Amino acid sequence: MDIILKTKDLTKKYDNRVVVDNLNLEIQKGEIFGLLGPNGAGKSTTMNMICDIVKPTLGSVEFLGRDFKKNRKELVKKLGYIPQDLAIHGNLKAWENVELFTSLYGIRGEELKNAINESLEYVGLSERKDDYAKSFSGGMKRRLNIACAIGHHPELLIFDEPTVGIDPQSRNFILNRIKESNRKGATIIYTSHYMEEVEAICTRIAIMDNGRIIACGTSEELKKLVTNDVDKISLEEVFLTLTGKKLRDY
Amino acid sequence: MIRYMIKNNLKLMFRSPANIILFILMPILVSSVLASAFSALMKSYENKTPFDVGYCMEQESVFCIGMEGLKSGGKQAGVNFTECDEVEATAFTEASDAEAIARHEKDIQTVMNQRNLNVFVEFCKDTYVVWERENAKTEGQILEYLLNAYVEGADRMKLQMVQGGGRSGEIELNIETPEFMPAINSTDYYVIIELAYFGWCALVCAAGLLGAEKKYGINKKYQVAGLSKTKIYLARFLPMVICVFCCEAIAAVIAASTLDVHWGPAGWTIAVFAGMLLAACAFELLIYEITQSMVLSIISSFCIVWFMGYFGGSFETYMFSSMPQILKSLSPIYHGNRALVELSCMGHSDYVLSSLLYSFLLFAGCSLASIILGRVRKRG
Repeated sequence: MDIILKTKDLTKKYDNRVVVDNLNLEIQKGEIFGLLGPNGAGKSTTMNMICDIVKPTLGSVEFLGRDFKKNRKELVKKLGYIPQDLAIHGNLKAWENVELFTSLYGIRGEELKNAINESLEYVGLSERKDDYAKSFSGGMKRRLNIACAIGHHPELLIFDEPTVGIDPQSRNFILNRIKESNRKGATIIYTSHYMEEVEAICTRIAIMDNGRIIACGTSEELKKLVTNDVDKISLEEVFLTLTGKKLRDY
Repeated sequence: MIRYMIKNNLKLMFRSPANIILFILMPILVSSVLASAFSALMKSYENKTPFDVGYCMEQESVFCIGMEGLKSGGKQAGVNFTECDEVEATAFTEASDAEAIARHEKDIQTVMNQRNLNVFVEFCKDTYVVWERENAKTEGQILEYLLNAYVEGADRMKLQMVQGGGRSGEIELNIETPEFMPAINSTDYYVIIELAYFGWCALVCAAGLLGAEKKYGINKKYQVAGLSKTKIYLARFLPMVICVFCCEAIAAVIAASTLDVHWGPAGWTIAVFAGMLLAACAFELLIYEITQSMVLSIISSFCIVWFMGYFGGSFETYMFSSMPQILKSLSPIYHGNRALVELSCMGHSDYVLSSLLYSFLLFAGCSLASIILGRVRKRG
C-alpha cells in the first residue's frame, strides 16, 4: 500500500520536557488510523506538528511523498483538520461557517456553493443551514465542525477527538460518516479516548505514551500483546496494561 | 479567499448589538449630555471677542520682554491690551498687610470701572494676576489661555538663549494661531469630537471576533489552511474599519438631522475621519497582537486613548484647555479634532494635513509592526 503520511524522528520539546520523542509513523493510504494515549501522551502535539500548527524541535513530516513544510501551499489543500475545539462562529449561520472555512482553501463561486451544500448534506444539517450555529445542540455543532473541514475534499482527514460530549445518536452518525468518507477514498487519522469507537472504526491503532509509540497494529494484534485469548480482553484493558493505571495529572 | 473572510467577519461585527450601541447610540448620547452641559460656556464665548484688557507692569518685570509680541498676538485673536499707568502692579504675599491688599483691590476696581474693562492683568516681577468681573469668566479664560501661550513661548525663547540660538534683544513673541480661534457652538463641537473619540474605541468592534478566534481555536484552522499573517491581519482590519465607519456615518447623519450639527466640507471631513479610523484600528490591533489578550488590550488601549483624548480636547474643549502645546501636538486625536472642528466652523483648517499625515503614519507603522510581530512570534 502507498504511504500517505510519514513522520521522521518527529520531536517536540517544551523547555526540558520532551512531549513527542523521535516519533516515526507511517500512515497508509486508505486506512483509518487510530491514535490512542492517556492525557499528556503527546497525541494532540503530534497532530499539531503534522498540520504545521506547532513547529517541531526536530524531525519532519512527509505528506504524499513530499516534505510538507516545503510544499505546504499545494499539500495543504489535500489535508482536512477537525480540531477538538468547536472551531465555529456562533453568530454565523451554518452555511456561512462552512463558506468561511471552505473558502480558505481557495474554493470560490459556484464551486464553493456546491461544496457548502454537499458538506451540510453530508453531516445532515442541510435543513438547518440558515440557522445560527449558536442555536445548535452540542452534537449539531460537532457535525458542523466536521462540515467546515471537508468542503475541499481532502485526501487525509485528521479527527482530534470529534465525539467528545455528544449523545450516542450523534456519535453513531459521526462514526458512520467517517467510515463513509474512508470508503470514498479518504485516509483518516483518528484520536479519541473512547476505546470502543476506535476499535469499531480503525483498521490500525497506535498506543502512545510519554511521547512515544509503545504499540501499533490491528486491534487483534494489540490484544495479543497482552493475552492470546483475544475474545476475553477489551482494547481498554490492553490500553491500561500497556500504559499503566497511574493517574496522569498534566 | 480573503474576500469571504472579510465578508463573514463583517457580518459578525454588524450582528453584534454592542457595536450598534457603542458606535451609533453612545456618541450621540454622550455628545448631547456634554453639549447641553457646556452650552452656556461656549455660547457666551462666541460673542466675546474682540474685548479690551487693561494691564499694568511692574518695573523690571520679566513680562516686559515680548510684550509687543503678546499685544500683536492678542490683537489677531481680538484681545486688545491697553496699558493703565494709573495703578501700580504689586505682588502680595500671605504676610502682606490686609489693609494694603484691600486698598490695591479698590484701585484696580476703580481703573476697571473708569475704563469700562471687564478683565485686567497685573504683570508683577515674575508672576501675573488676572482680575475679572463676575460676568466675564469667559474673557478671563481666554486671557488666561493667551497668557499661558505667552509664558510657554517665553520659556522656549529662554531655552534658545541658553543654547546660544538667540540674543535677548531679538525675543519676539508671535502667537500665530491662538487656540480659541474657532467660534463653534457646543453641540457641533461635542458631536464631532465624541464621534471621533468613539472611533478610537474600534477594538470593541472586533472583540467578539478576536475572542471567538482565540477561544474556539479558529486561528488553528487558519494556520492549517496556510493563511499568511498579512491575510489574517487584513481580514480583521478591513471589516473593523468598514463597520466602525458605517456605524459612525449613521450616527453623523442622525446627529445632523436631529441635533442640527454642521459638518465641514464633506470630502475633507470624511478623509480626516477615515484617516483617524485607519490609525485607530491599526493601533489597537497592534496592542492585541502584543498582549494576545482581549481584556488586557481593551484596558490598555482605552487608557492610552483616554489620555490622547484628554490632551486632544475630547472632554475639555481644546480651546479652553491649558495643557502644554507639546502634549496636545503629540496626541493624534488633537490633530483630528482640531481639523474636524475648524472644518465645521471655518470651512478650512491647517490641521487637515497634519491629521492625515499622523493618521497615515500610525496606520502604516502599526500595521507593519502587527504583521512582522505575527510572523516573528514562534509557533509552539
